[in-house]
Amino acid sequence: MTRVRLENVSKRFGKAVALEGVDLEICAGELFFLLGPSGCGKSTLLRLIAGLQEPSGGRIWFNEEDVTGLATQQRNAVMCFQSYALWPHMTVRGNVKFGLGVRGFGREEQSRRVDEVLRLVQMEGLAERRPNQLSGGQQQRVALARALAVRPRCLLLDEPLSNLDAKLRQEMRSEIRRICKTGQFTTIYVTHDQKEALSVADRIGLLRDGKLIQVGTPGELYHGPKTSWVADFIGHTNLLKGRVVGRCGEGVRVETGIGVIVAKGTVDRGQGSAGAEAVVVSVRPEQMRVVRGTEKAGRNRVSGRVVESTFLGEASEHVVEVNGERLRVICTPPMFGVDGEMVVEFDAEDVVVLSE
Amino acid sequence: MNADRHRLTHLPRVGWGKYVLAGMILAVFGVFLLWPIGRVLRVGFFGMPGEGGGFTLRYVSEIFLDSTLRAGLVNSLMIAVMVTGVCIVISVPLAMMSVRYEFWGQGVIGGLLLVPLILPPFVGAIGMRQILGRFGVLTSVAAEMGIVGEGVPVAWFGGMRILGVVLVEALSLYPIVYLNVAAALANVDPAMEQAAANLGASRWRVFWKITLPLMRPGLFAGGTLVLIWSFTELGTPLMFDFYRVTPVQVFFRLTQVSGSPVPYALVVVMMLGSVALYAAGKLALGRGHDAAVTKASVASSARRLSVWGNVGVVLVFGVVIGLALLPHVGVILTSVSGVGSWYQSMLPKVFTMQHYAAALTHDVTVPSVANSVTFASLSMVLDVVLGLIIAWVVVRSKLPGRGLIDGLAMLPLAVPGLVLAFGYLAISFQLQGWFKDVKWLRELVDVQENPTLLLVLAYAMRRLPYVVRSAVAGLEQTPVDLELAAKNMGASTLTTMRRITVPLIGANLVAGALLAFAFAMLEVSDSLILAQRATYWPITKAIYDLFQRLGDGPYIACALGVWAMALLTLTILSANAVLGKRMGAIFRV
Repeated sequence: MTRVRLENVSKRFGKAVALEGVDLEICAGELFFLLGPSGCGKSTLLRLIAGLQEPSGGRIWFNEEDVTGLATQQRNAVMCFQSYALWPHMTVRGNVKFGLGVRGFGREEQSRRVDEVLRLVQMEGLAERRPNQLSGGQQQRVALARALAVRPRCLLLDEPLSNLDAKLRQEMRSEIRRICKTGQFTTIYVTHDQKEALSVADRIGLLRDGKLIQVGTPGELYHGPKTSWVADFIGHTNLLKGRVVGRCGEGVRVETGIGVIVAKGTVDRGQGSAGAEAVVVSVRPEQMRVVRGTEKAGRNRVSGRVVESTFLGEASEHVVEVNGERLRVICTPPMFGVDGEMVVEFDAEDVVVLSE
Repeated sequence: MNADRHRLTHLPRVGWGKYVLAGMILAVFGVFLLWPIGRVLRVGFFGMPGEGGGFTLRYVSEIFLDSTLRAGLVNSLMIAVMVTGVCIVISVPLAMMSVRYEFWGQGVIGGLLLVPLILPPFVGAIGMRQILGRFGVLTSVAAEMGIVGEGVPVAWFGGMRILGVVLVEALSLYPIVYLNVAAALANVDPAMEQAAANLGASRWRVFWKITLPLMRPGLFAGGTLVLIWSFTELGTPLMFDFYRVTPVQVFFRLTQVSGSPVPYALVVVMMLGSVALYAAGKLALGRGHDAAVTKASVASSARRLSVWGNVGVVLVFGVVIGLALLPHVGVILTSVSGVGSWYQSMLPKVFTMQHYAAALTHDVTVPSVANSVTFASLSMVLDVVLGLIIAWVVVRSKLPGRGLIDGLAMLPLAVPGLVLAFGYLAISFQLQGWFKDVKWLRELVDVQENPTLLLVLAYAMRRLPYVVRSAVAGLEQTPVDLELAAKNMGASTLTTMRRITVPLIGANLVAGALLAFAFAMLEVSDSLILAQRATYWPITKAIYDLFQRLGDGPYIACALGVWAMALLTLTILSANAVLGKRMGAIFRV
């Protein structure tokens, strides 16, 4: 298995900077996600690892081997293109066999491996079809099989699911994870869809404007974003401007537009010193609870007017206006007929305080 | 997994290879395109080598002082301007109708419009002489209708052969203008015209102020091609015995090439004339409008016509197509007419198939067909290989010189065939001098000995732009990811080319190769100038020679012309059939 290490990698196109000083280590056998908005440089980074483009600076290592100067042919870092790039003049079998032929495998070994990967992606019945006779999801599987057949040191997936419909996308997500984990491939997966990343990744690297902003497990990113941008990009959140007005136990007290909020367990991050420091407070919509009747008051409880309600199927979303600030609240199971006043509360543990 | 890695490491590194490639391409252009032209310029301005003359305008100015040569130039210019004018007048309304209206048989008519391209005008000239001659078909028709007396000769052009030349060339070259104008029109956003009409402009005003300016790029492209082509056309005036034009004057001075700078200077003047015509065209039509390349913002406004509208449009097309096919009809009828039996009559009095048989057994025609097929095939192979490499460099690589390569590859479209052919003749003499001690090399480059090498190269250079354009279009339509995927899987550049690129753009390559082959089969200037020994005559030279013979010569020439037309039609049709199947497989992505 291969460990991939990027050392101060940068890429410029003319004057435009696509990537700047990226340091990253991807463990052997890991399913690693590069996540970011479009144009953040994530596909460029993938192409640098594939050897399809040369970095303007920095080095790329596969285990202890420096592959920076190697042509794409010599890297065995195989990419699944966003467009799949299936060769329309070859059958499914021909597509999958191509890489094996290039590597000089014997005829028997070739067919054995083709059958093996086609079985892995559950396409064994369609081997003689042409790409244009396949559905989007099937094409995606063939692209994956083509890459897997050569047993790459590192499998690179460029927005593999972006051309599929929502249902198929969900299906293929776990399918890809199953396949990568079964084959123990080091996989780097590029996407702009945070849900995709959160649901399948071992770890995620978040890119913005060519810089690596934060790396961590889905949980770390979701619950412990380093900046308000990360908090907002990874799932939706309520961001409230405020300032630290004091300590209380293990937490801090923050004065915000909806009142004073108590935050816990996040004291050491975001603000170095107490005092009247400007901060941003993040609370996830699904971590807000609607309080009914005369429940005992918790720490952070606010009340406001419901201005908008949306039924989402398994949940409902409500926008509550508190002192002119709008809070998004998600209720599972959904609540119907909510109108007028609503009281919500959230735990101090779920409040993340971020430096502005 | 380690085993896989080792299998990959033996692959060659790519890097300097493409620079070598680009250098080789530039070298090919330098030797086979720039050198011949440079050689002509050199002798035209410096005199014959070995005489040690410095730069002088003497030879060029002598051309203008010689009254015969001056008259030739004036005639050539007149032909060029008139042919281009007629082509534009014919093509613009046709193009507008075919883009703007939906009418009966549009597909068939579109195909028939292009038919003149499969017969070089100089062969058509033979047929046209039968029809327009003093005792030709037209005279007979007129006599039949009582317009002129029986047996009275009529000089339809008042004895002005130049008009015959213009008519034949225009009827043969108008498809070039038509294709370009139609393409330009199809790119014009109908919303622009609608906006003008919406502001209250009359239809005539819309055409004059909006449509015409927007189709200028097409007019310029087609117009300058025809302008230069007709200015330097050799075959047609030759067939009309109209010798007072520059190309024919060059042709008759070929024997002086080894000893006198005059033919060189004449070619130089012709080259300068072409450049001047191009510049004039650019000035008149070439002020490009960016708007012309904007894509339509409203759906195509092709209008369905009423019954009478249909009749009208089809009639207009019918007349043009009918006129354009007249030379072909003339050639076909001559080929089946008994010797001397098509004279003072509407149709031949005696029909016979013997000329076809003769064309397949005659000692001039048989080798000429074989020669043409050989030359055209070789040049086609050369074109495909070169064209593919050039297109790949231009579209896929980021080499610094690729713009220059692209420009050079298109240059043969602008350089008159006669100039290039003459240049090849000139370098043939130069090369013979260099290789005078090495017999086999000398014979290889001596066109009087064996023109195969230079003829194939000349054909290939002349038709290279078609293959390059075709391959470039194919590459631009093929996602680069398909090639990158192969390389990323470990395939070398060559393997990728062979297994991915070539199969994917196969249809484009075949189409380009076919055009190259067809045009090489019909090439006139190179063939008349470079093929000197009868053993190596291609079809066009054989036709020219037969036409000048007495007795059944012209009839066999026509039969050979018909065979050539048939062969070309068959080539195009069969390739279309082969391609049709594969095209489906290749393009249904």
